[in-house]
Amino acid sequence: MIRNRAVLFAFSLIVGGVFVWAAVLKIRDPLAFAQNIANYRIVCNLIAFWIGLLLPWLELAAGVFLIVGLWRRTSALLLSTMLAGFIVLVAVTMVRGIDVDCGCFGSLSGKANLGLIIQDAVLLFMSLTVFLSKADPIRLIGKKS
Amino acid sequence: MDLKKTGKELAAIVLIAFVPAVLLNLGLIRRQLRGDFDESLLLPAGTPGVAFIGLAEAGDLFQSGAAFFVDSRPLDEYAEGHVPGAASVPLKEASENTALATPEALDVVPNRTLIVYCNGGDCRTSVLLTRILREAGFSDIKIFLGGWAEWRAAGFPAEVGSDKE
Repeated sequence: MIRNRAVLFAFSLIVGGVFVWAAVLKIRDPLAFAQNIANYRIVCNLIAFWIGLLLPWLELAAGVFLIVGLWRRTSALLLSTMLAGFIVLVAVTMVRGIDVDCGCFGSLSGKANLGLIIQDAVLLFMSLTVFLSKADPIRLIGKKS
Repeated sequence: MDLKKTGKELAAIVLIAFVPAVLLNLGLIRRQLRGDFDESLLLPAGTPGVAFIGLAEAGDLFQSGAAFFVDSRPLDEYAEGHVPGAASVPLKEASENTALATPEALDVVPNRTLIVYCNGGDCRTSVLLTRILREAGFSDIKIFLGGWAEWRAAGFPAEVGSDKE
């Protein structure tokens, strides 16, 4: 397990930064993101609407907390759960043969494909490392746990 | 791992995230409760001249020749296979030059029934192109939600290549 505080901080910065960036792009146009979710054809428009409205804000909050170091492990756990969910969702979509934009980064989104799964897996490794590590990374605010 | 502490922190993060999400989107939530997004999240309910159709209706309109098909996908995807007789109007190009989506450009009368489709998974492309087509003067537009993926899977007729290449 990685114990180097600088590496753990870098992981937090990368994962948190990606989520904050992705969230800001989606918060600007919640309906477009909701449509992206509906395009996966797993949930109805009503559920897609609420996910489109709420999920980006959850990504933003967890991303910011991970970067600043407040509630770090809980934020890392939350983001890890999201990433695991995204990986399963994209894999299921590929198996079903649906060609769809991932919706991850608003209008800058790419296709939901193997490349996206690999990208999410790398982020999942980083966030799980932060969550599982006993070492306390460099933090910007909050007391040492 | 302290589950109680984690639970409390998780609840706090969710609360901090959801309060602004709801407060800043009250207008959208009201529209959702009115049923504005039951059919499409990008076109309000009851948008004049726009309807959503499935494979059966699209197939019937193709067989009867009662509608003109518009393919909203990029030209390379259109060239790989499309509904026979469909016009290629890629959303990206039409967004930059709306003249490509006018009745004159498509050589179709404005009151002709159009069926807009995309690859099927990403119907947003069709919905956004529909906005442009409406503004260009078309009054009867149907969006085929299943799109090319469903058309092809059903074994319906297909055409390959493009005149524009």
